[in-house]
Amino acid sequence: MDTSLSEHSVIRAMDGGQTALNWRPQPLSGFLVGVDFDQILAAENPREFIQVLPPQTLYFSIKRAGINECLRVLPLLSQDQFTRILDYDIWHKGELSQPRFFTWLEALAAVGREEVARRFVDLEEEYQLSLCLGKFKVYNQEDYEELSAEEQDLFHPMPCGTVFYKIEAESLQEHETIAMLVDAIKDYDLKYAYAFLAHCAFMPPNESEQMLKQFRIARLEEDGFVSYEESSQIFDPFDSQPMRLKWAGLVVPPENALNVQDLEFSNFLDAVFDLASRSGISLDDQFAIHQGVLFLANSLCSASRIDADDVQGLNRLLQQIKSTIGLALETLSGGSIEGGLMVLQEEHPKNLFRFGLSLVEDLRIATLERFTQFGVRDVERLKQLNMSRKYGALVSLIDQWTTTIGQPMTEVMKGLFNRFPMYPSLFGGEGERQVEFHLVDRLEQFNNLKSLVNGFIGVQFYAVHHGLSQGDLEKTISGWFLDSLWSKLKGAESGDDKAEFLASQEGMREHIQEFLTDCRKFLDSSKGHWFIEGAQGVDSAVAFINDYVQGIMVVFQEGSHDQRIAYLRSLL
Amino acid sequence: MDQLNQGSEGLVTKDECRKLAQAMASKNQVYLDGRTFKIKCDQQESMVTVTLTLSNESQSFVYPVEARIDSAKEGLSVRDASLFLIDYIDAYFEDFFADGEELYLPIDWADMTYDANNFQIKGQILNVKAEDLADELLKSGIPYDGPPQIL
Repeated sequence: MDTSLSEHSVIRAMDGGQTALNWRPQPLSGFLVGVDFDQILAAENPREFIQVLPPQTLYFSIKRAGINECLRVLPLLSQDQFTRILDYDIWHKGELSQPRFFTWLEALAAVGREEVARRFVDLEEEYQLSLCLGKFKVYNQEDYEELSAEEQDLFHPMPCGTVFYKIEAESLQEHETIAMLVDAIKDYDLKYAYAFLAHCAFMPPNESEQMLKQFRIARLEEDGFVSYEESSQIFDPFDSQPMRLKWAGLVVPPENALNVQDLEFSNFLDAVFDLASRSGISLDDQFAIHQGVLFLANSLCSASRIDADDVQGLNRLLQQIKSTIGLALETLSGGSIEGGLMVLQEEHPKNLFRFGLSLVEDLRIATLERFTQFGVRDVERLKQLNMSRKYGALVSLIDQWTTTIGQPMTEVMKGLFNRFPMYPSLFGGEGERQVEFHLVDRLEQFNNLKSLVNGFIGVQFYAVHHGLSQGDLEKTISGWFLDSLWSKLKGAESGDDKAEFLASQEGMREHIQEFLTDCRKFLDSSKGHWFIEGAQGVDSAVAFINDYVQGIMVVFQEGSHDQRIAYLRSLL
Repeated sequence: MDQLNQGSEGLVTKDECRKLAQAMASKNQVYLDGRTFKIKCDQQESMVTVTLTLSNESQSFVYPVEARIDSAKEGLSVRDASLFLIDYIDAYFEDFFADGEELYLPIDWADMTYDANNFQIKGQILNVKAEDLADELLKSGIPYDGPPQIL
């Protein structure tokens, strides 16, 4: 028996790039919070207002407020809006959910029985049948009379008295809801009610649901929800050069050049949006830009493993998209918000997103090249997975490095190779450290990520250059430090017990500091051999090395003499 | 099933439970906020009970979700029955998180059917830390000095 917790399914979840890293998305904002229905209902013609709103906006607004709190809104929806809202809401993992639809029926019943019937009868036939197939048994008089009195009690007569139907519900509540639906349809259009019952009772199962699935997919595609394959193609290699060349000459007059550092926005795109709202750009144009970003988010849902009704997932995805587009805009505009606005007005959000990703992809490729140079473990597999954009498998593979290269460097690599790049920060003490990831919102943060990655590469270079095994870096680098210290204090040829001797040393903190200074000097002087162009990293590399030798520091501060000896023996 | 020993028919072992809990954590890092999963499986004759608990360190958030199934009645081995329940609760937690942690289970045993298997489930979010503090306060005998009480 396979379960949803198989390695394959965990990798699948990681592949989305949404949930497998610990990060704190901002609260819902924008259209995800919803429109103010009270304000719309107070307007002169609320129906007109409602019917121009995009169905997705309406859906999230209703979902957030609760269907039963929106009873005055439901009659104002156009039938197309209603159908599309059902497309979002009453499906779960690609399958139609009858119980979810019954929730809508109950809300419509609170508006009135006519509303129930009108909405239901106006739904496309495939929806009606898929929702009610298998819910009725219909008998004619002859068959009905052959039933026992007890069985007959379960049947309801139609007004003609010759047709009888029984409701096949899974619960009492469902039974009552379906009974209410049939009664509403009978009152609304009796002829239709006969046809409906007959179809529901005698249509072959699955046929209409298959058709409905196709219709729904076609409608969702209009909003940008595309197949996994199409969605994944957005992550394919992108030639960023034409866009770079196009905007290379972008010159913003210095007196107009606003810099994001001067404003209170962590995200460059938010600063550009803010400028757009203040600089006389028409509301329609602003709306079109926001819709472009939303359309992109919808088209990334499939690759990111997010369902159309998952508002929290869409919120995370929008933030990840905004940070990647912001990174692209900041790069192309040289940090000018005006310039960013000019670029945003002309370039499609999808291309900007791909440009932003290409910056990170360049870093990934440069990292993998260095990995090849230094013989880092699993490098061929990593290259293969990166080339085929198998981000879940990449992150899962890197996740297994913790025991050998330590948590900090593992987390840096996970952030780099996550579908949506992120950078980590660690907090808490040794042994109970928590990691939190952050979006690469700005060039400054991208440079942080670069420095961390470069630090990782610096440590690899240090290990290779000194002939250290890359298997367990904490052990080999700490062992290397202790060996060096021993040679320095006693001379390499001494026959004394190393661990005994070193355990008695005072001033271990100073020795470690000296070691780190030497590491820094070495890394600084050898930059040409390991630096990735345009990145810093000596500080990060020294910090990683410091992390490795901290175990020695801890045992010298807190351990007994015997504990010191035992620990040092494990390293030497 | 990569975390589990293939071919075994018995209850899921403690070590396997730990690995499965780790797999759940890996999938749901963004929602955890320092909380962890624990899985416990029990068997009494053919009745298999699984308790999957999401909790934080301070125990101010403890969410045990319990499910039980009569493996013999449902024609499942004890192992498959326990994996079925773990799987169902895992799927429930996926929806729980996606729904902003507002999708609750009945607090008392409720009958469910999934994949043609009949079973029961219940769950209730507890603040064990607050309960413990209240118990300590009661035990300490400090007289109540709050506003007047009706009961």
